[in-house]
Amino acid sequence: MSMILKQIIVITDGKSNVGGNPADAARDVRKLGITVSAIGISDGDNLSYNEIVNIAKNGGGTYDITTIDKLGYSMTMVTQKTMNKTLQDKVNLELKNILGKDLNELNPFIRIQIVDYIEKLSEDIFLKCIILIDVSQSMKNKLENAKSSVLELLKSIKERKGKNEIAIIAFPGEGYKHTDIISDFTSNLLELERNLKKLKTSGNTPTTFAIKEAAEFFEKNLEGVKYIL
Amino acid sequence: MIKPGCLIIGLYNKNSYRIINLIGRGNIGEVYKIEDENGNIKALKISRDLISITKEYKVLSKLKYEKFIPNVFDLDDTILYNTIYHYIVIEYIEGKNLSYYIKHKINFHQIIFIANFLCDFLMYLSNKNLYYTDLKPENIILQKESCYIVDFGSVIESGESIKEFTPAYDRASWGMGKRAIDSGYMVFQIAMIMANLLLGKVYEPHKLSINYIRKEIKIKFPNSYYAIFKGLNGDYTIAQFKRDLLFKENFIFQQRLNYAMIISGLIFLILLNIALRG
Repeated sequence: MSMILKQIIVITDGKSNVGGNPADAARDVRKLGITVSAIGISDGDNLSYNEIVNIAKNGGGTYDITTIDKLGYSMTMVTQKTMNKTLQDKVNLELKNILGKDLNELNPFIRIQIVDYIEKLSEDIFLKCIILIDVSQSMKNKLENAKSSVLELLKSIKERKGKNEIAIIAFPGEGYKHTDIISDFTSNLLELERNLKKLKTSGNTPTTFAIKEAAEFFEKNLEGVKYIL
Repeated sequence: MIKPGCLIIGLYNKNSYRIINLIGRGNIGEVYKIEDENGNIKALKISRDLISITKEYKVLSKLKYEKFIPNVFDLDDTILYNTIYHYIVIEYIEGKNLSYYIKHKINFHQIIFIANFLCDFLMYLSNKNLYYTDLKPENIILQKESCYIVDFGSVIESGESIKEFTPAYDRASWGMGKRAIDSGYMVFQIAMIMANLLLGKVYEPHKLSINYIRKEIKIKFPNSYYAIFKGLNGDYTIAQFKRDLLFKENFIFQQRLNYAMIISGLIFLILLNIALRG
């Protein structure tokens, strides 16, 4: 299977406070064939529920509101649900072209085989995932939990048959940068663990810039592949 | 949430069901007690998640007419609030689930009975190349003479990765092994449910370590310690686990029998003594 599934998962405990509406950025990014999902951590009191829902809605992904101790579980479920949703959307598009009907409009008993096919795809496909993590001041006491959650996610998706790669981007970055690349795409647990040590808190919450820059990172990464070939 | 008395009519099969009341709510959707056109009481699981509902129907129809698995009758769609919903109709299972029995404790023999049943259930499934990865108290219904398992959305075949699980019963969340199907993963789920039932509490990972639970069991239930201790290791085979459970059970029974014999012997001697003196 040569298909690559590209996901961005935004993890935040607050709301964007510079650079416009993150849901708009999510819509733009989706047009590039990248789905954007969002996870809100409700431990503090400045989480914007609407922002989370709208990022996921416009980004074609899924969302979850969770507490920091359940973040690992939430990330695993969101990654998986988004994968299924993206594949279901793709299959729907094909069905619409062939039959003029999507999965929802088919007889439930005919769906069984198509669902099997989607499940098989989700097992085999190459999954590339950017974790876009909020490191503004309010995340200070949550960072250690967040690190172990990212590792848990990689351990979990590594059990699939297909290839998996995770990259970590933190927002805001150090100095005046919107983002910092904490870890390039990798499927190596030790490497990811080593890179995660660099994660530390700073400044404000530029969610919108972060989503845009994550998408650019996907593009750069693919250019890199072309160059090698 | 659908109100009691509402009528659900299938878009394709045209069967209609009257909602009686809500009986459960899970990650995926809601389960209602319903009445079909002939007045039979059944259960209806409804969700917007097409994949999950379709998969569960497929698994249940593979396992039809097994005594500890609810029968499945229908798979269909309906429209509620302008949105398409998917549902399956299954057998209604009377009884309370194990969450209830964690709060209101049950005796040790019943816990062994449940654990033994769960071992048999998981072995039966694995013989059919199926693996139940979301075993938890809410999904196990206890009746007088038997148990029932509900919610088959998590069942996968070998070679697939685990999709649905609950951290409290998931080996990987406790750091006791991979999140992948093998005998050890299955036994971990049973051992944790036993620990819940014995101690009357549900434990969450990331807050406690597995050793804390082991210590609690060691203090309160030294006799049943061994099998659960090894089960929580995450690398125990079902067959071995089952043997150790029953062995300990027999052992305790034997011990009790011995005590009973000693006491009755003493009483007999006392009575004999009194009789002889008289």
